[in-house]
This record gives sequence, C-alpha cells and structure tokens, in this order.
Amino acid sequence: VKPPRTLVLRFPFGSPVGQPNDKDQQIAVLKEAFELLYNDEPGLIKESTIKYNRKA
Amino acid sequence: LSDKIERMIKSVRQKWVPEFQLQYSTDIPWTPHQKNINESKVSLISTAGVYVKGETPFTDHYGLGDPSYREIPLDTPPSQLDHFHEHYDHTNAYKDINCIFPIERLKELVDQKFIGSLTQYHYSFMGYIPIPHPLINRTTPNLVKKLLMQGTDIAILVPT
Repeated sequence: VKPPRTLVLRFPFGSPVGQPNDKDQQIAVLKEAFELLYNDEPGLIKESTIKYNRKA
Repeated sequence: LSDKIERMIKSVRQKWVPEFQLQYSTDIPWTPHQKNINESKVSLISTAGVYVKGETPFTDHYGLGDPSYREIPLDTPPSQLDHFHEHYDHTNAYKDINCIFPIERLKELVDQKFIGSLTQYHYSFMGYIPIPHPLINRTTPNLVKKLLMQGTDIAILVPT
C-alpha cells in the first residue's frame, strides 16, 4: 500500500526528523507532517521546504 | 520502475535474498481526518529498530531481515532506548534519539496543545524486511489492533 499522506525531507539517511539536539527543527518537521491532515487529497506527497543545514 | 529501484532490487538479490521480490501497490488507504489535531491521540511508529534496553534487540538474520516490532512505553526514559539496524548510519541517533524516534518532541507538542495526547505505547520496526509476508499477514494486523485498543487517532510513521 502507499502511505495516505507523506512529507518528503531531503535529510540524510538515519536522521529523518532533523539534526541531533535541534529541537526547533525537529518540532517544525513534526508540525508540518501533522498539518498534512488538513489536506484531503489521498496519497498526498508534499516536498518540505525545511533545510537540514540551516546555516549553510 | 526507476533505474534506482532496479539497482536496489538487484543489490538486495545479490547481497542478501536471491528470491527478493519488490512489493508494489497503487492502493492508498484513506480515512479523512475528522477531529482537530489538538484533540487527537497520537501514536509514534518508527522503522529505526528502536527497543527498550534489556529487551530482545532486533536481528538482521544474516540479511533476511526481521518482521517483528517492539513496544515502547510512553514513560521510558530516552537513556533507556537503544536501536539496532544494519542499514543506516546511527551517528545522529546516538547523539539524540529524537532524530529517529521523536518521542520527546511529541510530548512537547502535547504541552504546546498542538496535539491532544499520546498513547501509552509507541512502536518500532526494523525497516529492513526483504521477506514481507510475516509483516503483512501477522505483525502489522496485530499492531493495528493494539492501536485501535488504545484509541489512536493519528499514527505518525517515521521511516529510517
């Protein structure tokens, strides 16, 4: 089956929620994922704008 | 299928499971979310191979994978969580478990009233399962029953 709602993040393998100890980034990722619930398109795949390296 | 997926299939067959078949489906299970997020009960499901220290770790079975899952009680201190999975880099997860299993961040989202509450148990698989039949026919239906019994409104899947 395909997931009903997907948030795509260009993050390294092994760090899907964000950088270690970067609470703000991790919270932002989770909030964006939860907000997909307000969209009613089955199988929605959203490309996140959150960058892994914010200072780069 | 894309070249990347074809290469992945070839690699799994050469290295681990000669009879590996990619599971592919266009079916999308769909339930519109009716409740407000800030009134919803959330369960976390990870594929990072997370388990509570002292319990049975996951095992790779010499490349054949592991279709089981582990239960993680909500009140488990992060220092008591460990993870086994031979197919990703654990460097960040050892620095901060929330990179792969963001349970502390979810607790903060409850404090912020962004989500309603968390279930008593959360779950992890080890996301290397090249022989998927036990996962499809046994462990996943079993997990779904547990989520329903706990009144889960939202399951957030964190893949690793």
